[in-house]
Amino acid sequence: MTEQIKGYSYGQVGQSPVSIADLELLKKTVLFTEDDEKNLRLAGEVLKDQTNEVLDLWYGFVGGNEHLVHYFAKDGQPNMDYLTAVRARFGQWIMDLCNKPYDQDWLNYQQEIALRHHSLKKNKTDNVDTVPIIHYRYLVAFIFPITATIKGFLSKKGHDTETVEAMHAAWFKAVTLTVILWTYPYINQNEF
Amino acid sequence: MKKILSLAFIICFTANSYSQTTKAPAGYTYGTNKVSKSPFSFDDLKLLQQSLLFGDDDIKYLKMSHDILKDQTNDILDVWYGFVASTPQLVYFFGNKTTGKPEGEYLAKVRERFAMWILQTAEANYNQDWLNYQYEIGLRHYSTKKNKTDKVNSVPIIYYRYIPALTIPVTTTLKPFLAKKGASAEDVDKMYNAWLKSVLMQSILWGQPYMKKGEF
Repeated sequence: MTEQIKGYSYGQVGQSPVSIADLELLKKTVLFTEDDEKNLRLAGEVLKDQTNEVLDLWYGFVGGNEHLVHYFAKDGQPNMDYLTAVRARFGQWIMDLCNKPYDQDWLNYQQEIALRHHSLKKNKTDNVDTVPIIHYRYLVAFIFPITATIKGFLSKKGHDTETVEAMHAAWFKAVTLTVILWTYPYINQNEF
Repeated sequence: MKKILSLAFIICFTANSYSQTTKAPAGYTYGTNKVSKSPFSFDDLKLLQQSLLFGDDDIKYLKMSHDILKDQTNDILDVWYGFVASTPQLVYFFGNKTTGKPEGEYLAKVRERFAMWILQTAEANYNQDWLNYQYEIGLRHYSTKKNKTDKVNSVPIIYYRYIPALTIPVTTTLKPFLAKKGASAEDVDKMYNAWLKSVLMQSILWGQPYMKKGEF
């Protein structure tokens, strides 16, 4: 299944400029623990057959905000092929966030995703012609809607409130960690 | 370890000597002509808030948190400074550039402004002065202005990655304080969420000086 996602190249990308040692320190700063890893695996189980509904919601949110649709568009016209191609990888991202070990491959792929938001690689994977960069501020802002809206889906499989809260907290930390890594190409040299 | 112990001493000392006062802390220049205009526009701030699902309700719940937090800022700062003290990669940014030892006076002065920041976040009064001051705070984390306000000889910059990362410990540890004055669980949750959005929004704005031109 994974192999069929166009442009998804996990495990086949360049080296991240962020070291595993720095990732570990960042994990500690966002209070990310082994318990969070376990809760993310559980979230992965809970979400695996809901990714379409999750993406419907997220795409609905983007679609309802002209200033966000902008990043999938040129001259105000959204590129449907681009939106569709990104959507397939976005679904896989949900699964990877929950299930992958945060090792060198994972770290490398965060850098690849970062570059694909930045002018260095945006549009290239899907060979499309849309605006050249997603501005940094919206990358980080997206942490909130992505986190707030996932909670409803985490509670859909009959887990008690405490377990849902634990999965949600782990998700929030994981998304924050990830998005921080995606900002790397935007930041002046030696300031990340 | 020795470093952490000496920092713990500094924190205890500053906690005892610090008292909440209406006098503005040293270096707190909100709304004064010492603060430059933010390069970010108010219209863009509105769109950013929209992207964070930040609305009028959040303003209401932030304001509700003000009364709850106003006499707890010292206790909150004890927790936050305790977290920094136990996290060497964060203590580093308060360290002397030459010796690496934490700068006690720097920590104490920042702490006083940090208390003001708690109250200001809870006031949720978004005007041009507020926007300008976010830019000022950004510059004070950045090499342009770090250390200058307090005339200290510390490391020249706080690396960007730790700014948004701190959203999590700051908001997670704040939640029990929001619950301490008898608000309902639902109100506590709403205040917590409003805080989360506000802190995230501010950390985004503080990131401005770090970004390559045109990429913010």
